[in-house]
Amino acid sequence: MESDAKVILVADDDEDIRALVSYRLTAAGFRVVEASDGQEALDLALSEVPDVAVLDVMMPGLTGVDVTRALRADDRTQGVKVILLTSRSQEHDVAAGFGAGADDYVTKPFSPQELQARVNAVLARR
Amino acid sequence: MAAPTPSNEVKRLRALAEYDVLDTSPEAAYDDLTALAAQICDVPISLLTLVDSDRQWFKSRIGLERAETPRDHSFCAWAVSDGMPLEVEDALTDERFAANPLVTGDPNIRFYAGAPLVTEEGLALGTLCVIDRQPRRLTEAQASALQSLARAAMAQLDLRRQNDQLRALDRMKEEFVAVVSHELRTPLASVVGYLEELRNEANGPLNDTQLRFLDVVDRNADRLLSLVNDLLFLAQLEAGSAGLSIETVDLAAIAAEAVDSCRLAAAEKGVEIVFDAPAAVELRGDGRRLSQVADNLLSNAVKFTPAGGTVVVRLVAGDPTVTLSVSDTGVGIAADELAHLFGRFYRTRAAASAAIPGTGLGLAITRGIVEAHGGTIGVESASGEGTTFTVSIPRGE
Repeated sequence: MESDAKVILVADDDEDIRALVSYRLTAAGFRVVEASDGQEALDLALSEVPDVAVLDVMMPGLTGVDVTRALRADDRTQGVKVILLTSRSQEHDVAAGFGAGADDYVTKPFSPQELQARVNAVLARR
Repeated sequence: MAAPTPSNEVKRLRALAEYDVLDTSPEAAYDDLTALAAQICDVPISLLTLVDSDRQWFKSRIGLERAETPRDHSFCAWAVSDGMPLEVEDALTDERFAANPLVTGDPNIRFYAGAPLVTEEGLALGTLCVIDRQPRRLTEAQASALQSLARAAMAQLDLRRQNDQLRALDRMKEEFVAVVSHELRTPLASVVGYLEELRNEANGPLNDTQLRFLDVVDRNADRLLSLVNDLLFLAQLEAGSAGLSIETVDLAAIAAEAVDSCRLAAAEKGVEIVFDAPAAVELRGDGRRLSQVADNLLSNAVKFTPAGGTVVVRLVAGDPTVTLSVSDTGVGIAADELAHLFGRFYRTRAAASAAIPGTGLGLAITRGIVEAHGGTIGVESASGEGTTFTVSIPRGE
């Protein structure tokens, strides 16, 4: 049932990556909303209040880490699960992400199937 | 009286700015030179002066409290204006300086001798000068020594500028590699991700030829990705920001694993591997990265050893240093190639001519990892007689 589908916000400035993630998650039965930069992601998060936000770290303007911090600071979006897409496996990027309140991260390039599994995993967490 | 403005003043000030030395902290290298000048010339005051647009600023000063004075009062500006050494026996009897506040008041200059600091382009940036409160003259030897010291000061300034330029270049290089790596990973993520979706049977069946072609794309995407990863990691190693996760690891177990993973390739080639190590050799290090070191050295040894040859892996549990050596009976490395062996993208003639695959990054990374652990790596070889790599790593803590 459409209305029961969990909502996933996918934010990445790279259109192909965004389409790939949307395709995989839509095929998995989620309702996906897309944003192409950090500000749009934040606006969409406030209007849609998704269950999970999949955020690219390196976006122009607000980064994925900035968006995570903003989501955590707002009562309405505090509970949104966040998975960061990082293009670097460097410890300090990951640490900054977790510091801002992210639930998980996936390093680019990533397997769409694995990302789907991670989304399911954070949804299962309480 | 203020000194005339040099004809090349605009160029001169631009050069001075490029040296980026104004208002920096005192440095021993310059303080040594002024101390030496004061001692040799037997005077109470010695200054390393840089003549700025409206002031003279002292990079080093002996016997004077202030860090700068107005340019209008500067003796050094006269030497800079001429680009020649200046000696004033008694300022009170010299019309250029008799009314100068530095003469009529503190520090009561009477005697002044300055040797200009002249750049390679012939621009005088300032002087190394000596000052006394009574009239006098320098001996020929003292005057000559003062000029030598001024040249030494100029050489020091040149060195400083070169260091700054090198550091700036280094930073640019690191940023470049990091940006390039990032920009390569995003398209690679698309390639790898869409490939996975293509293979997904839910999207319809593919025939065997299509699958075979996709394997090729896959393999090459992997190759490109490991190249990007290696480059990024190398850049991090060189920048000292590789972020090793240091814990207590067993190098004997790590080496044994590397040996095991090479056994098949070695057996297929008819190369024997001899492994000689104590039961456990613990040290503080990054296990994943040390595995990379052992894997690299061992796979190189197997790659470059012909059938019937032997690769010996030996681990010696010294204290405070653990030594891992990998010797082979392979093609060896020519003496003129040994020095370049650890450079990025360097490939030996033997590797190139035998078309042995590799990017030439493996040993650069290996050395980077070893050095990040505070260790050293060395190589001994002769053409046709095999090669031995020796890694020494401190146990740490």
